[in-house]
Amino acid sequence: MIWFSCKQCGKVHGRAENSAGTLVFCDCGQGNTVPWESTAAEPEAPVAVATPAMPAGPKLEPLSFDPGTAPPPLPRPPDPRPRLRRRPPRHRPDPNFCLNHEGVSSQKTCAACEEAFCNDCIVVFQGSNYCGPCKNYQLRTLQRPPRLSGLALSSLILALLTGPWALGLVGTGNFILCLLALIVCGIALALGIMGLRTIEKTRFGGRSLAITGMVTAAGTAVLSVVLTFFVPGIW
Amino acid sequence: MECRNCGEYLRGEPDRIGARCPRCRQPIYEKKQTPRRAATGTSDPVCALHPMNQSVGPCQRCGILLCGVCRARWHDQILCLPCVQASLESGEAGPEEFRSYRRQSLLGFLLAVGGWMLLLVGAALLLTLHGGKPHPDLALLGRLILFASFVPASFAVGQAAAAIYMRGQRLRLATSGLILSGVHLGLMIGFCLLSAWHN
Repeated sequence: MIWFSCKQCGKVHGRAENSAGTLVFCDCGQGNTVPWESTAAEPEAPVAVATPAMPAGPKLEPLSFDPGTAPPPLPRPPDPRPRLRRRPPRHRPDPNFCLNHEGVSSQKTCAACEEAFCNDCIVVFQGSNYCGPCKNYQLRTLQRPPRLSGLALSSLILALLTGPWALGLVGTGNFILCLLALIVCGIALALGIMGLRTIEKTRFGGRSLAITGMVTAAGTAVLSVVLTFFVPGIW
Repeated sequence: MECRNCGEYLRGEPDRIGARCPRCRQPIYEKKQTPRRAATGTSDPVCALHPMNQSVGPCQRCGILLCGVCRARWHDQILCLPCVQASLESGEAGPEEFRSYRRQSLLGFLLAVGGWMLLLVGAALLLTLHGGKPHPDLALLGRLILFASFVPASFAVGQAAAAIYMRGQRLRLATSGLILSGVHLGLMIGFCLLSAWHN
């Protein structure tokens, strides 16, 4: 026999061993789930164990085929109306009891969903307590493919755009345009370095793009200076 | 996204919502599963970490028995959490990352070869001008191809360097790509400097 107390009025109920997990309504109206093991002491005075009454069976009568004595036709059922989908009310679990095992008192709190659980529903991962679904979610997050770093992409685009610019400067000797190209190359180089540092520290991807941006920016900077001032009129 | 339990429509970033529905507090991404209690007095296998829970199988690395709460899917394997933690700390790459490293090595090498081919075509075009009468369009095309070979070489350096840095597979291929593209870029810049010094 499993003994447990009502969560609202404290009345002690008893149910058979095989009824664990079923919902039992107390006299006060509170619904209680029968726990897996006794959570209350067995009362000295015997408590009446509820035994569900057998439902009344259908009334069996002999059929009559005589049209004169046939029963009146049944009234038509009302027109079916579209049934509105009713969502269950907002669930506010009792923090003193485990969310999975309503009859078991809670001992730990999940670090992600902040719900209370018993020791058997909690695992420790990376130094924090997690329930099963939150642990699975954390693991999925860790296995997610890394997002492309915006800094790395910007570095590459800037460096690639500066290339044609540097080629356009060949033999012009234009100091201002060359300086501008060098500044853009410097920005691309700085973005590439920042992108690499971000990729190292966080779960971002795009290391190859950052390296390509840095190499292109450095090469373009050298070519800009050389082609602008020292290679006149190669076109 | 809709909660599978209560039908609540969930808006916003999944990371902010978390793994449980804010309305019914049931799991959003998986079925509600209450850990099965091990029956007392039977020889049912129980979880190594939660002795009250029935085991659902062993860890595929260390072999300890796991319950539904401990069981973790990590890189297509069913593992216990200490094994997952060890994998995380050692920086072990998953199958997707392995494929990515292999792709980077191959791309690095192919781009380096492509860059060299462009360089050789451009150089061949320029060398043909020395023999006879210089054709201005051909010379322009040769120089454009020569400078265009800079782009695949830069990409090759990026791909190969990233593959070598992550110690992925096909390291020889990545190293070859890096050396080829590095020599290519060095030649390009050297060619320009030589041209500047010559003029």
